[in-house]
Amino acid sequence: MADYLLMMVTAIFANNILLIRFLGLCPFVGVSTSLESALGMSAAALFVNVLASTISWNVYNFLLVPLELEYLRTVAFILVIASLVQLVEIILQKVAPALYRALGIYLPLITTNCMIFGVAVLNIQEKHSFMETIVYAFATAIGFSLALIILAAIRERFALGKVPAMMSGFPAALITAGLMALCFTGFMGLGQ
Amino acid sequence: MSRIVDEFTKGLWKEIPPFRFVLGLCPVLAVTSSVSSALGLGCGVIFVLMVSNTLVSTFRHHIPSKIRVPVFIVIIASAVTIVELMMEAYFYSLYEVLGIWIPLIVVNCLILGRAEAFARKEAVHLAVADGLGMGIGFTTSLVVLASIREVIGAGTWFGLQVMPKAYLGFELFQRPPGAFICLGLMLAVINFISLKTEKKGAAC
Amino acid sequence: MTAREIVRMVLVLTIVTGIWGGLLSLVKIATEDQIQYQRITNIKAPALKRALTVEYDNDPIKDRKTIVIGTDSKGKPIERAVFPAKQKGKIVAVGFEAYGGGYEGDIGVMLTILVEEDTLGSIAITTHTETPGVGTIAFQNDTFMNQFKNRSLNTNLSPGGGNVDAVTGATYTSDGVAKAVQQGIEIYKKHKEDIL
Repeated sequence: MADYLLMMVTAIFANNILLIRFLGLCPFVGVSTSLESALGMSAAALFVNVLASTISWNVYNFLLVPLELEYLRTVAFILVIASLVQLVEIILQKVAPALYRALGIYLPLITTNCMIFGVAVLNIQEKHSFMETIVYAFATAIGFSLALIILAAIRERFALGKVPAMMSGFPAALITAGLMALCFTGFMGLGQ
Repeated sequence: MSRIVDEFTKGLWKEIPPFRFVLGLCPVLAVTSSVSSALGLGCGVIFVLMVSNTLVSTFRHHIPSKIRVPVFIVIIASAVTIVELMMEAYFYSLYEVLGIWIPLIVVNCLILGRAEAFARKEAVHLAVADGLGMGIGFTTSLVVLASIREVIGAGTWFGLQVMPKAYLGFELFQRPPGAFICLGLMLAVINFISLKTEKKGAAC
Repeated sequence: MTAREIVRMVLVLTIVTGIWGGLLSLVKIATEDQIQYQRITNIKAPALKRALTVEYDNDPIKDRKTIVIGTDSKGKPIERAVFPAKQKGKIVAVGFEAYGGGYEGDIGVMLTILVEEDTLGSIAITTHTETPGVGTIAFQNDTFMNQFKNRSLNTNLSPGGGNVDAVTGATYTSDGVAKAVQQGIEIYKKHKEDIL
């Protein structure tokens, strides 16, 4: 149990998936303009990340390894993720229309979110067990949400201030993210 | 002929990724702490982009539009696997340094973006020119950013000492926060130049 | 959606994946040997160089051979590469890898055996996943690493045998190394004819 806790703390703070490992940056600058869309994206990412990691882990260990096709990992994982997102979209639309309306527009964006694919690959590279895979996927998604929501809250405030024309938009967001990353490096040494 | 030149050169300045099209940012920040790894990943991206653009454009009339995304993904993922195997076989130290970023070329939005926005509609020779231009533009951006980070952060360029020996290196630039700040400042400079010289183009 | 469209979609997808699958396996076969060579030169060669304490004049990596040391649970043969060090064409020492469970998983140890003296040569670590700064202090402890040097092959080196002093604070890691060395000695004794 302590191992899992340590793993979660490391993944959320010391090795934050966005700010320290640079995975999942496209939505980070794209949807962080308002708090509401940041929350929607976070929920969708959490859901898909855990599901995709679990399925990829099983595909790798019970399909690719016995068949000695480990080198097809990249192709297999991206297909798993792409079809999973499609499936989730269809199921949500039928079963929970309210949830679909809230998350729907973020789901297609997730297919090309490198965090989902990156975490699935990291789980294999670090030889995580099945439980560890679930915990790690959950923790990285929480770390992602944390950074995304903080940045969105800061950027909402930018709307009130005067930003020089050449700095507005992406440059300001990136420099803010840089300063946030500086804060998160303070967590290094905490955890593994 | 002039269209080929146009499609090729637009990737070098007018629509240079990742500055004009803010796509595929993750590797831009992750591999630019040294020039050699930036160049290595850039070459991988050029190869994958060329393969995917060429194939998508060649078979554009045969791919049903309903399943085009899965087909594109299979093409891209396979090209990436070839890069992965080749790098492990012939450039092992680079393979070790780049690690997870080689398979991650698959989810680089730039590649799927070019297949979807350009190669799917245009003739083969134009798609090749576009892929080569965009790929070279992307690699150039990576190398420029990596040069700034490596020279300021470690005082070396391509592993060669360029700053005086006494220069200890501003280590922040080698670390993740420096990557964000450096890219942010570069984007600001490019915005500044375009604001001066032309009416602001569309940013993605 | 008409039936014709569906058939066309399935056909296109099958052809695309079929062609790429074939191409990928061709590339895989073409690069397999080279990848193995790269892995050996980049991961195993430095350890081998450190563990070879005798003088030799050949390239042990190039002269390597593969032996079968048993079968796994599915009946597939387990293979191990053996690196012979030769002086004037005569094998003076052999190096190979053995594994022992540490705190976080298997520790790979490259050990060399001096053929003439019939003793251990030296050892070096190839791969491990121990905690940096905790388990790894065992690898940096010269007294610990050097105690395996030139030990007789008949000494029981396994943990609990009383012949190996573990490093305080890194007991699991020390035990893992000792287990790997003992396993290596047993492999050597059992497959001596194949190895030489």
